[in-house]
Amino acid sequence: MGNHHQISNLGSILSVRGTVVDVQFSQHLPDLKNQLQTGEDNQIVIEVVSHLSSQVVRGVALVPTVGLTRGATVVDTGHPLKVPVGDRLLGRMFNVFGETIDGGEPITGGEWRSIHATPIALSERVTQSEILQTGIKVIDIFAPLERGGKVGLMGGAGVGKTVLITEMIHNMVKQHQGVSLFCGIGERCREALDLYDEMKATGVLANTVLMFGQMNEPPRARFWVGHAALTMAEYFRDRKRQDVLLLIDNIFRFIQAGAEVSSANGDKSH
Amino acid sequence: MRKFRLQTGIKAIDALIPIGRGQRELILGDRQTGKSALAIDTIVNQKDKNVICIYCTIGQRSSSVAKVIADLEKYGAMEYTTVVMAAGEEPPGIKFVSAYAATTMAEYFMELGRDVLIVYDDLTNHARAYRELSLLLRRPPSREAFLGDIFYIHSRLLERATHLHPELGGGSLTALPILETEAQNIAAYIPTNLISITDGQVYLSPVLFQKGVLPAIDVGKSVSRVGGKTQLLAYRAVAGALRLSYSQFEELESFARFGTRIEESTRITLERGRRVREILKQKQYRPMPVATQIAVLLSAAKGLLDDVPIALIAESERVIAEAVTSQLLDVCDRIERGEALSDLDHESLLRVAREQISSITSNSVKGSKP
Repeated sequence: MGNHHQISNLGSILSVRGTVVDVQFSQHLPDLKNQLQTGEDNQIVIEVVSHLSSQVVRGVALVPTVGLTRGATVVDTGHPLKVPVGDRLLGRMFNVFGETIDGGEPITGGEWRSIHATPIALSERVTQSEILQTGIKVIDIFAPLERGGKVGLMGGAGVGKTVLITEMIHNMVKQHQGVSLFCGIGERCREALDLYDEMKATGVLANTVLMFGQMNEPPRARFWVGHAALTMAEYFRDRKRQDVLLLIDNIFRFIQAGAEVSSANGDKSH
Repeated sequence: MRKFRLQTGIKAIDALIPIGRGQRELILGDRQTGKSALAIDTIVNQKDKNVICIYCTIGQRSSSVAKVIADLEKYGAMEYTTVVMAAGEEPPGIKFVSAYAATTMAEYFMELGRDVLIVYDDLTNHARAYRELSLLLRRPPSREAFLGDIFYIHSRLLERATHLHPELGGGSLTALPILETEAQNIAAYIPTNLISITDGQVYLSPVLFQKGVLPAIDVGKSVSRVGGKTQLLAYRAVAGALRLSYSQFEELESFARFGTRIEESTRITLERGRRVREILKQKQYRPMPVATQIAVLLSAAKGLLDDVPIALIAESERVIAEAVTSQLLDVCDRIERGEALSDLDHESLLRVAREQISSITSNSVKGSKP
């Protein structure tokens, strides 16, 4: 996915309907999933979801489209959504664009990866199972986690999910020299802040990366935030060869975000 | 984060489902269970508490809104309250945007560093107005004919309520959205959405309402996810015992109805529970100060009222409240300041309560004799 062209590829907005934006590109159609930018200071980020004709693409915005008008100029960035990767992310908090939201210095330069990666080939996977010790007796004995496995954590509100998660992150750092990623999807902003403060207080923040697409963000942002977190996690697994624990709260909100996106596009299949 | 309580003046809420400033607490229940009354009582209780109130009515009958405004005026609440109204007869567009207009007004005060309380009465009508608009715009409907992003509509609105960082002035916006359920179905689309958006809910039960338990708060189905951290220390000592005795009572109540022979310990649990329920009753427009709440709740939780006939509970509550405010000024002061009560303080509260209760019961015994 390179930049095919030196001069920037510009388009203009044909219609805006909620988060769905149709854009005309007369020279060259941007690739599917390419990131487009428009609005004041290019603050509005749009992702290409379909090619409607030889000149028109349909995009979905990841930020509110308030103030967007027909005829506004759109820039094709020539690449899909990207997030930074590397050790420099540890102890930081991000949004879906890989921008820091903890009030600290922004992360610029260095390696940024597309959030759309292909799955690991079959030949690259191991087939024997190994247990990942959490250090929590009842889990390790009755419901052990597998390294590289996926486990659902279910429970009502206020029954101790966060405590369990913090405990797991803590043990991951202390026992496995690993890192943890926490990805919040479509939950309350207050919870994100509470978790951040708690991790800071318990001293596990330094080996943790937090990423949030909470319930006040547009559906497309909530939909991709999980992928963005996975991209960061993959780096630690593939490049740093570390054990990574990725926690997603709440996976139902991911599905819900997907339903909202397709509903806005006019699909009735959900 | 700096956290403060929002005192509703309603015993059952302040003790068992405490609300913090900046919290979003859903009030839901079937029609005619006293949802608006609860919110209006909370507004009335903010008098002299330096809290600005915004009452946003969406799709209500104009006559009932006029009555609410008259009541707010009567209790001197209009001095610090703004009413934003989109009446039932107005077009759906007005009903949809009025919630945002009201929130913007509230945010202005919050950004000035003030504490603000906003009541949305109710979001059921707000959701319906949005449904009407989406269908008129020919957008594809999903569950219950709402547009798929109705969750986002409500989450975006309620996420605007928060407690600002001290660097930003430390203001707060507490939201009490009201929702009407149908046939007590809290698992319907809009109720489940709002339950997952808010920081807790107060559920009003029509069954309790019919029994005359007012406010008809179903303590078992109501929660507050964050308020506990903001609760005055004096409440915490009482709340645990109160909640326990009440939930044990509710469990036993249905069995006891069969008139079977019951053990002595069970009988005591039932008798205490009945009195706790009685003490949690509260008339409309009668918000109660903190110290007197603590005194009467403590009396009930410690079993002081166990031998008082049910009919005399309300009277006992009144005299205990009076006696405590006049005799224990310094304890009252310390409760208001948020200090934890010592055993000695508890003892003196209970002593005053015991005196009052014995005078009431002896009077009634005398009165009943010819």
